[in-house]
Amino acid sequence: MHHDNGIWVGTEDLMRDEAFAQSSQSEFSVENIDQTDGKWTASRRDFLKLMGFGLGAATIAASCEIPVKKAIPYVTKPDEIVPGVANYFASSFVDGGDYCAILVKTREGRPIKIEGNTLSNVTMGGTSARAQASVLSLYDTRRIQNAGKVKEGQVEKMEWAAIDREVKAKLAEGGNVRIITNTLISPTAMKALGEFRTKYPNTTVVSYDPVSASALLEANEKCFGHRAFPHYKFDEASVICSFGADFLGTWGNPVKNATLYAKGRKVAGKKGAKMSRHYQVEGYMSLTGSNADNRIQIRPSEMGAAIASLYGELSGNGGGPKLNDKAAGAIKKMAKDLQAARGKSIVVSGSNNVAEQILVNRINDLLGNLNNTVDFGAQYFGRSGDERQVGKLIEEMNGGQVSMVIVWGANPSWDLPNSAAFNTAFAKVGTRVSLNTNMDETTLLCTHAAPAHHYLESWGDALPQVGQLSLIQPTIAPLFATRQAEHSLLVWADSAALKADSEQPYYEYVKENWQNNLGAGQSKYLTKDAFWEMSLHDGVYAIPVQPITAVFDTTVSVDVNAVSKPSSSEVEVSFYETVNIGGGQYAHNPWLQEMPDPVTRTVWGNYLSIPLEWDGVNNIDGWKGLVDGDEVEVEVNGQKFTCAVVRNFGQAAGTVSIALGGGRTAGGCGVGYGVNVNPCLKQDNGLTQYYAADVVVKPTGGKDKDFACVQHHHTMGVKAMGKEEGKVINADEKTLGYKGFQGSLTDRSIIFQTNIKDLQKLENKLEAFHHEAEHLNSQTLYPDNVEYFGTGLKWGMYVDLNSCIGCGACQVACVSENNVPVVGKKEVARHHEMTWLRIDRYFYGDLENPKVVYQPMMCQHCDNAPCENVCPVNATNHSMEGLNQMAYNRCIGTRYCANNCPYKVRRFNWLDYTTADLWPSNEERVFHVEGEDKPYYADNLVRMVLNPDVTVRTRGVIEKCSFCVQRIQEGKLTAKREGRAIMDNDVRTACQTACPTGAIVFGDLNNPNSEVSQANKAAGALAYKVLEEINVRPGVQYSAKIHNANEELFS
Amino acid sequence: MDIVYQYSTLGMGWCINCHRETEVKFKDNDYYKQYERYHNELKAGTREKVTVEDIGGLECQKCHY
Repeated sequence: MHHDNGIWVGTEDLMRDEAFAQSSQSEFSVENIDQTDGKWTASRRDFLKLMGFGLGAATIAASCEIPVKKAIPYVTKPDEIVPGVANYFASSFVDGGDYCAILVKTREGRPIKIEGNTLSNVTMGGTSARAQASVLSLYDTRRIQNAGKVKEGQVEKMEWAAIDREVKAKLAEGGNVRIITNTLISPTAMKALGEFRTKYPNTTVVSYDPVSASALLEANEKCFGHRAFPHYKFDEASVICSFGADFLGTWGNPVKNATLYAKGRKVAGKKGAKMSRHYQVEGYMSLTGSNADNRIQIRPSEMGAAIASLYGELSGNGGGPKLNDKAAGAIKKMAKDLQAARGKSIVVSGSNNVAEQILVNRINDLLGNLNNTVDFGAQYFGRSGDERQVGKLIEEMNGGQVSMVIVWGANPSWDLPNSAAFNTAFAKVGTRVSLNTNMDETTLLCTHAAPAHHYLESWGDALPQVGQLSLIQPTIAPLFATRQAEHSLLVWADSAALKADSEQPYYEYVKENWQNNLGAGQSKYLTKDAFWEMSLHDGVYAIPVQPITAVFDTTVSVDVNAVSKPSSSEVEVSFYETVNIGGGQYAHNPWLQEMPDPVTRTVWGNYLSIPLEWDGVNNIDGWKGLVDGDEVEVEVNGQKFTCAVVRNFGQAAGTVSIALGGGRTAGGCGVGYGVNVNPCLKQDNGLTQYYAADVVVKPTGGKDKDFACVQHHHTMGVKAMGKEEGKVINADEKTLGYKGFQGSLTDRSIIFQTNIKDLQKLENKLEAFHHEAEHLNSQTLYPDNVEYFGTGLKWGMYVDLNSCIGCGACQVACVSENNVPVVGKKEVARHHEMTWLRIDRYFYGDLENPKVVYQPMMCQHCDNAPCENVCPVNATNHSMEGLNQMAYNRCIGTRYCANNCPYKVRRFNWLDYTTADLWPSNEERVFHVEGEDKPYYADNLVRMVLNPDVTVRTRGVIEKCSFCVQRIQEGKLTAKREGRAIMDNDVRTACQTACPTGAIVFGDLNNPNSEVSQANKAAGALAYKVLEEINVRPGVQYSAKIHNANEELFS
Repeated sequence: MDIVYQYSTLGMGWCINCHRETEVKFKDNDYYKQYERYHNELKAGTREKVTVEDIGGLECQKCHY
């Protein structure tokens, strides 16, 4: 049974690396066991002491009684709170221009989980990894807890009244005031700003984005008169072409884009369905590029030439810089596809060069996309910063013209390309007030700190898209003595509209603005109060929008010669924003740091992606012979930095790339991880360019000893050359041998993929595979599926590999829902990462320009589970509803189950990551992440994020995906109490609700009308079980990856 | 005033024993419609009652999650 689908995971796998065969057979890395963590003394008495078995503890352990813990019940219970029942509040996740409409799950008055708000027309119920992780930053121990003067990195406490007096006195002097912020999308905050500027007319607002989209905004203003993103209807496009725009990961609103994009990709089970075709032209592999059907690799400096080339093909006006022949030929063919789909295509670009963006606008115009798939009637405001203003500001500050700067949620002292220049100028300003929540790089340089609330403690609103209003409401009383930024501005402006004496002044202000301005003339509700309450309940309110017909201004100069010029240097570098860290704003969130980057699968830091070199025959080597983790010194634009490398199949020869956001120096847990590349960014015509030529990369000979890339952890089906066998074997099963043994098949059925035109062939192949597997699996010791599981509920999951874009929202949602510990970089390097759900990234296709498929892998809840039989204490067993259960309190930590699991989804608590142990004496050797003084969940503040429905595991127990059993039990109870059959909406797992594209479907397989049963049925033969041939009978089905590549593109 | 004492052990065994014996309101609640085999057995007379144990109440993760 051979499935040579040509899938590979990384170089070692592809090259059948012998050393790798050795290392990957040991599932738990034994390389770096440091003896410094504990003193492993030999004597038995010491051992017992270490294990905490003093006489007293042993006696208690022998009985079933446990130490008494005291709990204090409510004397007078608040009306809304029923202990044990969650309350959901609609709110909005807003961070600069990032936006997601959410529901916040609160328990006993504190938020613990973020869900998507399906009532939103913008994000439509999806979330992003950033939104999911945002609940943790509320409980950040490094938040500034009160207002005051900033002295030597600390805030010298002042009462708010006192700091208000000081600030107002300074403002009254009448000098120039500058407010620095990222994109602001709140109408009420703008109103507050307006009042401030009326009172202090010498105020200007400088708004910039950590990763700038200024060129696009300028181009749109020039061409169409609208300084905003248009609404891109990815669901209506049959051809999508992106010139370096990471629209599924970080560009525009990725949640909205992903939801719409996926609609054009779901073809499993829809006979004759049409699928969109996605071309990506880029200089490094972005998340979006990895999902594309065709990637046209260029050097980053050739982006302008590439756009000019497409423009030339479509308009007949050639010219502009010359593009390399291979890419030019491909673009020519792509142009044909675009022309065949007039009015039904989308061309976008992430370029920060105005001429290039004007060309893209003209291209969309020529293709008839304007006012069809590119719609200015529903403009998107998520990026509205103008980075040219920052340059002006620095000049003013240097000239001593600014007497006060208020920093509101921005970090210009670190995330600008010219932060050093900014800081020098900044020091010349007399009063510098920071409204930021943490003592970050900018706040350190300020004179006063007036910390704002976290968004989960705030009132506010957002207008991310024309006509789509949404509200922010607090889900917990402010934890510290902070105050809303808008409230501070209104106080300093002596605002008459602010009812300073009321309990929540800014709440009144927002309500008044909504009832009398934003909602004036609304006819949906009878009274103003009903309007306010219902909008607050829904979280969103849609105002009907006038359609806009945008017209391309023909007087605008469309100049192919004004685009960026290709360089002929040997090496070029791309700088990009990642899904989890952004431009650095999210670096202090441990959940996001520990979430592996979807493409490179690295954690806790940024690494230089280097290309691979294939000799055309047998050998693939990293560039310059480098392997993952080797250190290099990089020199670019006069700046030098040292970092580790990671080999990346998506990186074209002559190019390297590195993410922004590493190397933070203050404010939270991200300090010390990664390297700051912001100083390497150059500005062209005042706009930051996210690439550079003339890069020199020198191996230093060193290694990052803690380099952590999780793609080679927990592998299944990785091939290697067996030294003894003399042929290719499965590296995970070296010990089992391969002679016809059912369990050691060398070609494993993990990923199936096809081009859509060969769909029938794949269906036939999968049917044949399924038949053969059934034949192999017909012998079993276990009771028949139908007899045992056929009555009542049977939980199962369906994962659509075509919809999964690898964004990682599900991964962070699972961590958030299930109290999964954060272990830190060093532990991840030792293969000890704890994430229950991992998103495996597989390459397939052309070695030099591969395609990528993402596969979310969680516990498959096998009916014939290899893990259940081998537990010596029966800690893991199977329920009659199909769940593989894990009883943490029975587990003694033999790890036999994890050894047996073919999917490698079981995680062991090697160290005390959570201090959850009942016996304090066991906590002597508490695990410390480097740089922290206790585990992340050990602090009482951070513990507030824990989900009370899920056990917090101690050291020494195995844990794994439980299909969110706490949600299953809750859903069943709801149905039981209402006396009705259970339905799909009762039980939705965390990963399912987080996903913006609907890739994960969960439900009752015994109910033929449930969503999961329908999905399985519709997909037919395309729905397969991973490793079906080994007879474990998983409860999760995946649907094969179908792509729509233009096979002729490079011929 | 009367003496107050703990009547039930409140240990796991106490919970389990009751689950083994107590009958579930099987016929009255639409939630249980899905347990077709039990419904058939009850009708056929081969089964007397449905206890919590029969619908999986003794499984570990029903309580320990």
